[in-house]
Amino acid sequence: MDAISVSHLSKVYKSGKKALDDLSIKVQKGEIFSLLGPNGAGKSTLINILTTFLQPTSGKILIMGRDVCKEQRAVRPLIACVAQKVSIDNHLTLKENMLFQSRLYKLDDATANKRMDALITAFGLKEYEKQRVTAYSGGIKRRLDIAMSMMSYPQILFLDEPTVGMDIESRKAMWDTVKKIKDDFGTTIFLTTHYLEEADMLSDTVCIIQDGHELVQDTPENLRQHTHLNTIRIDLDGSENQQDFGKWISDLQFVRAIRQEQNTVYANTQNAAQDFHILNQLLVDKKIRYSSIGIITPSLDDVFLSLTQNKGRGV
Amino acid sequence: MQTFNLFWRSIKWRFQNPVTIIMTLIQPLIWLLLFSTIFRGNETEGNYTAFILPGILLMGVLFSSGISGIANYSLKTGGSYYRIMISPAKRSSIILAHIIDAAVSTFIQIMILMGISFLMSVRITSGVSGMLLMAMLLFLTVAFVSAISYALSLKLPDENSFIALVNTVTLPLFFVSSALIPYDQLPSGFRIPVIINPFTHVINSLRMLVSGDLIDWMQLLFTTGILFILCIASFVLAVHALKKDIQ
Repeated sequence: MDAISVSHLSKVYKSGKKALDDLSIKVQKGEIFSLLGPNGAGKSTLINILTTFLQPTSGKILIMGRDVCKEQRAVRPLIACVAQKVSIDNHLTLKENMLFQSRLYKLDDATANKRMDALITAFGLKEYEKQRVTAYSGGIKRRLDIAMSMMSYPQILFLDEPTVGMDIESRKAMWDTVKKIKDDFGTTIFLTTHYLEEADMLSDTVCIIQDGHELVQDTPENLRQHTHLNTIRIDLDGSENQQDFGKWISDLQFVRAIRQEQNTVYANTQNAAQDFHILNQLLVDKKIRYSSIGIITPSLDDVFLSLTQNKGRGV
Repeated sequence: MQTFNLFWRSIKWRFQNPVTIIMTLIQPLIWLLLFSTIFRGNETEGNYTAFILPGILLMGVLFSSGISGIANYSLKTGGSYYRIMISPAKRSSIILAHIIDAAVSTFIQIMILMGISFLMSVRITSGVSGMLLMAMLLFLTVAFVSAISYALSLKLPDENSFIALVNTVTLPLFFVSSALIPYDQLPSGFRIPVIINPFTHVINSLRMLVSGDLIDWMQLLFTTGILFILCIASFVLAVHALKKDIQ
């Protein structure tokens, strides 16, 4: 049984805005699943629907085998979500926040206290226990937010852009936290992000969505051919014959495709890091005059572009 | 249990922000002091403060419970509304906790207003049991008004429209009632809207308990019945609005 199974999900808001368009995904139990997409791709809408906060327009969603729309009461105890907006109550202390959450999920006091102590230690919140919650930094607030959400030991934890607006140090700490939750608690984690690197590093499965529809769902290794679809850029000297050069380079075995813009040639290769040296050597051997050569790492936009072109949707 | 947990959370906020209780108290307080001072000279039959007190108590309820739903807007700005909505907490518990929270802050006001009236030599003729009956009537009124307020806060897009509507409705409801003039002294054309206004009956029953010679149990039962029906209706409405707030 999948932790989450979504088929043909669509959501049209009252305003007429179509946020999700025939989306289908599957999340396996115990994995970290990243939903990757640019702003406005429908990530938050999807999380809101999966967490029973919004009703879909059409489609079927099962969480741990339960229908999200028809069995809200059975689904809610199984999940927790750390939203983009910090949801801790500033007028309560750290412990009061955690206990409030535990009572929302109907834990008895003994269990709640035991879990609270364990989570405070696990998330390194001990030193903040005595401080006022309002005095916490953004990163600590978010950590408390996650610790609170873990009070019910949810089977699925949703994290909506957990690292947005964080500096690199806090992001790394957050990544460790997410991995820890998966390893120590066996929780299935569903997170959204628009950082490619983050999705690549953390996840067992990555799903890329755009305009409310999934483009691809795969392991980071398999997606790497998209994300590492590296290109070598060569700037020719003005005196070189561009057409001859273009023909010569596209005939090379390891070059998959080229694009030419006046004196600049972009060559798509299988493995840019390796092919760069070979190509460089060949250029020297053939005495081709060029002013620069280098590897261009594709941006997230390039990956999206290549995906959208492959799938023939969007753009 | 769930209701208590939610109530505990909001009452902690309330006591850290007592100004929210004071703010809605100011206007009824001014009315109480002003009216009883201005009309003191005309006291032909009994204490005018005692006469106006039920209306002022109701005004306090309308102001503080009427505005109570506004808390939803700030909750929605942060993430805590969402946190509660996706939790297994029953929607009816959420509404009930809201009503109890509104009742606590309203009853603090009521006690202050009663205390001041006492200093202005108002005595409750029906005694302690009458005061308990008054508390019951006022609680039902709070429950009705605060549930309506909660439902409205879910339907109206922002604080401005919410405040505008609450302000537009509250004072007319107060004036078109027997708060300031006894029902049988009202001009006949004016009586129809006054008698339709459920708060007229609450004020009449409260007035009977404050300064009446005898308790008319039929009248009391009638008022309680009306309030009870209104409470159930507004509670159902609020729970329904909360469940529908996910589209």
